[in-house]
Amino acid sequence: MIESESVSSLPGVAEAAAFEEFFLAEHERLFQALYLLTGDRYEADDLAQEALLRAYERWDRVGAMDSPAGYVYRTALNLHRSRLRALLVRARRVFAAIPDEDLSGGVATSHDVRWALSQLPRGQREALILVEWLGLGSEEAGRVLGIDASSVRGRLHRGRASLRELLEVRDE
Amino acid sequence: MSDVRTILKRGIGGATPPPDGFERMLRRRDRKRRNQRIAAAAVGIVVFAAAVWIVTTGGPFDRTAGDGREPASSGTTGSSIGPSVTDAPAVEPRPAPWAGGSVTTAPWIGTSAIPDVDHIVDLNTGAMTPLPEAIIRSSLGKTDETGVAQTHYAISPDGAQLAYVGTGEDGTPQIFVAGIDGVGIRQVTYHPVGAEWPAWSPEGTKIAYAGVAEDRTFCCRDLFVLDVATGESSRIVEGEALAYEGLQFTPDGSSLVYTGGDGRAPVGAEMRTVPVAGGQSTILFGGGHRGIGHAGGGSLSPDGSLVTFMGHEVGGPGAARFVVNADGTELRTVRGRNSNPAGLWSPDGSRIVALQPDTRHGGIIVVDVVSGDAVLVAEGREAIWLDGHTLLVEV
Repeated sequence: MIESESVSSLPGVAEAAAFEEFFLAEHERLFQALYLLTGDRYEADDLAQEALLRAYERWDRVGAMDSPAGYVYRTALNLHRSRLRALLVRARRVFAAIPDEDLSGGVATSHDVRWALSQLPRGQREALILVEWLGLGSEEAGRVLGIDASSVRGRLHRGRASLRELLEVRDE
Repeated sequence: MSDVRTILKRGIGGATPPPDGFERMLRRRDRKRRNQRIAAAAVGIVVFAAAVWIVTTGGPFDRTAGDGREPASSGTTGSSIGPSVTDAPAVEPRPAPWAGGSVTTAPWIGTSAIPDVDHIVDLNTGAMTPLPEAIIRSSLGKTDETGVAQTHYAISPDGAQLAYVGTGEDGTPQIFVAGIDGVGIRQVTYHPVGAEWPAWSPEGTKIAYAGVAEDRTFCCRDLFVLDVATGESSRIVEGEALAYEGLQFTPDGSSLVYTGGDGRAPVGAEMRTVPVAGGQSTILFGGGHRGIGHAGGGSLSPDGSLVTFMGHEVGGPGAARFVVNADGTELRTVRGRNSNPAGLWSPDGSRIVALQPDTRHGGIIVVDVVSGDAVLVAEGREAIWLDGHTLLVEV
């Protein structure tokens, strides 16, 4: 009357464990990169969470890629570029639990850096963070940004120069 | 380290992400799934309403009238007995999800007397009484804006205590127990991500619930049984229960009824039972078994002779509520959509309570499983039977 069927172990359990390991390795680095990119802790956390969740949802495919981290970075950047999403994030920020930044004392210097980054064109800012902070090569950064490696190097060159210039101006 | 990297490191300023990142990501996934289900349900309702309109009125097409009588959908289990077909629409190649039965509205619906908080409604008199303030304040439903039921009340067998999902000390959803009069509210689970869908055992000493185990099995939900007296929980099912379908003890208390699967099955979810003492689960319906593609939110009648679940037959039209004998015979459809498996049957097993599919604001209907007649009795997200004539409604 009632069919018996044993419960087999789910492939998702092993995959979930592998993803958790990936998450723990990448989360903080990704958050910090997005913090540099956005200058906003809430937005950085929101982007990191969403990008990692999308990787989790597709982990059977993403986990097999040469660079799952590259997939996550690319996803995060695409999310950041979405204007509608930015509006929603800002609206939710009113109720966010993440405390506002304390810009007093020694944190002022980090604020200057984030200010300087915010003055850069987005393409230069993204290239700097992917290469200088996340340590990607020009080729891989190009894949993440959807441009060729030589364009990445060009943006890096201009971005570095502009960043130094802006910080010198800020220090005056 | 390059000077630019040094500069960027200064820009970070030691900032770190908020704690519990992985758990927060999982909660985000759960919220996303709920929203997707709501959107899918909305689309399904629109498509279904259009189909019903075409079948019953012909829609924009010309029709040739039939003889007006047609048995209920029989699925693949042979003969079936459906609700009365006296008022059944004309015959169409693909029958409507329910084959007949009247629909009426209780006289108190649409009046200003309906509370806007969780309340008890007496079906004999129409009297509506809000739950004690203390219970409402602690319930999870107060924090939710999705329109999907969150609190999932469950009444103890002696009718004296409520188990429900409330906001835990750490802000996560956890199981609470309280006297029905609001006295003695206490949190009884402390799981890292959260616990939901409480269900009382028949003797009232245990509560089954869905949660995430502390050893972090992240695929789907685990099922636990809590000893109310000691507060100790035992994991019965690991990582294969669908979080949003609820659970129930079998009438003899020896097993749990739950919806199994992780969303990856090629056909659909499965209604399963598993011994409370542990062991292998058994599929009753769904996942292609017995001609049923998807069987979610399954529930046994108090005497165990009937089964109801939400789903579809293999190759059949979209989500409907089915009632069937426990041996798989006499499959038929009735009105009603989502409900709480732990409390949807009336004590005598003659009626079920569920959401009405075609109301804008979540109508609660009581359906006679033999005649198919339905009565709209409340407005809310979910309701359970407290006794033979009283419902508790989560708004």
